[in-house]
Amino acid sequence: MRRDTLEIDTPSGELVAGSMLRGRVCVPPTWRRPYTAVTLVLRWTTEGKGDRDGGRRTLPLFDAGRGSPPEDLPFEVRLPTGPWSYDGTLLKIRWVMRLEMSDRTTQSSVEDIPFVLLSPYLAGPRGGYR
Amino acid sequence: MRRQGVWCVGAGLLFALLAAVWCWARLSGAIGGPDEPLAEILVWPLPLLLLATGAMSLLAAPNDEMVAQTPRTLPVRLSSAEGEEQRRSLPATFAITSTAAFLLAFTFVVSLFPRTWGEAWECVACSDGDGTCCNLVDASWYSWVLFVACCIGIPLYAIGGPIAGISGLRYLRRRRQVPLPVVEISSARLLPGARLDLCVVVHGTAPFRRLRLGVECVEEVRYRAGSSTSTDTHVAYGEILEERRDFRLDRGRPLMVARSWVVPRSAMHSFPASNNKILWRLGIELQTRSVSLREHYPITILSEPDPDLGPAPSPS
Repeated sequence: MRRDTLEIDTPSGELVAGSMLRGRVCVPPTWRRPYTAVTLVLRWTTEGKGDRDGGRRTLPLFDAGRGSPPEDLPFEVRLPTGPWSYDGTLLKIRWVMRLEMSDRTTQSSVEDIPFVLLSPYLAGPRGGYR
Repeated sequence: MRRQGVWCVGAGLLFALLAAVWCWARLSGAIGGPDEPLAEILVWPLPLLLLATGAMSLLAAPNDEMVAQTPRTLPVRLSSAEGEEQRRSLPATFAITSTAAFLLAFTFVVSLFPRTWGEAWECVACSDGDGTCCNLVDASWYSWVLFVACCIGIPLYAIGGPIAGISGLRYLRRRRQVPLPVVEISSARLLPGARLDLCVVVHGTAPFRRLRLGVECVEEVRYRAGSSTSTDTHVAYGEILEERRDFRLDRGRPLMVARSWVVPRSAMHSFPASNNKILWRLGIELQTRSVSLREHYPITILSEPDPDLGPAPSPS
């Protein structure tokens, strides 16, 4: 995770489905422009033998109506309830998060950060059967 | 089932009577037609097939009625996985229908040939302007029509007839010995950690070799390879809830199996995407000496509490 772009408050990258995700976005000085929107995009895709399926959740962190984004933008969003990350034989489900910052003309995306979306019913730390 | 049986027996008897009258009329020379008794021979399997189907349906009917009258013990009665039953009976239905259609079409075409394969009735307005007059005319092109019909139809008949007979009778024998079991559960939508109560009632009239009741989680993926689409499955989790060997069931004395199962907390929820699925299902396998039945009953593992289900099980 890049220090100057996005921080979340989980050390292992394992997040529980439906829980609150807290973090902050640090906008580096070189990026400081009048952004109109800062958005956290959570995307899931399948991997494995089958043709790919996927979906995305868009969580707005900042919009132009709230003035210029500060250098340090804390956020708190609720994570989706599913699908949970899965690591099977024929099928895997992966999650990544991406920060999208757009101004009036361009849209900049910060690299995809993979994470594991865990079942909230697990007693242990890992989800799925593997 | 009983109504279907009565209809089949009735239709079979009617066809047999019509076929007998037709054969008698042709053989006695009362009506004309080609010398070769091809149509007269080909028409006979149809009434026999209808009679056999009707008889087997009537034999299977009491089992179906007992299944329908089984009293309910748990809130949700499950149906077998969508289309499985229909898929099984489809080849038999198609073969019976296509064979019957061919036979009827063939006998109709043959009836157009009063004396030989190369003659036909030509009906025109009478010269005196009163009514229609029919004459026998040379019609060698009819021979070609019939030849083409035979080239296409007889192989279909040769293949479709046996398929109709074998698959139809096997299907009906299975229905007579082992009707679909009655499966009832406490809820078809469950969260990880929740308890599922299930009750299976097996009717039948046969010595059974094996009964196996289980629950499984299956990964199912669909992928395109060139222009065709393939599907692969893998059982990611399986648990046998009941297994019995060598027992006998008699009509009116069903076997009832009641079990409980707790959804593992590590279970993945059901995932019904377009090409990649995670499916949870109850599986029942029944085997007699001559019949093997394998049915699946889908259940849904939820990823979040369903408001209709009440409180979720607490994480431990």
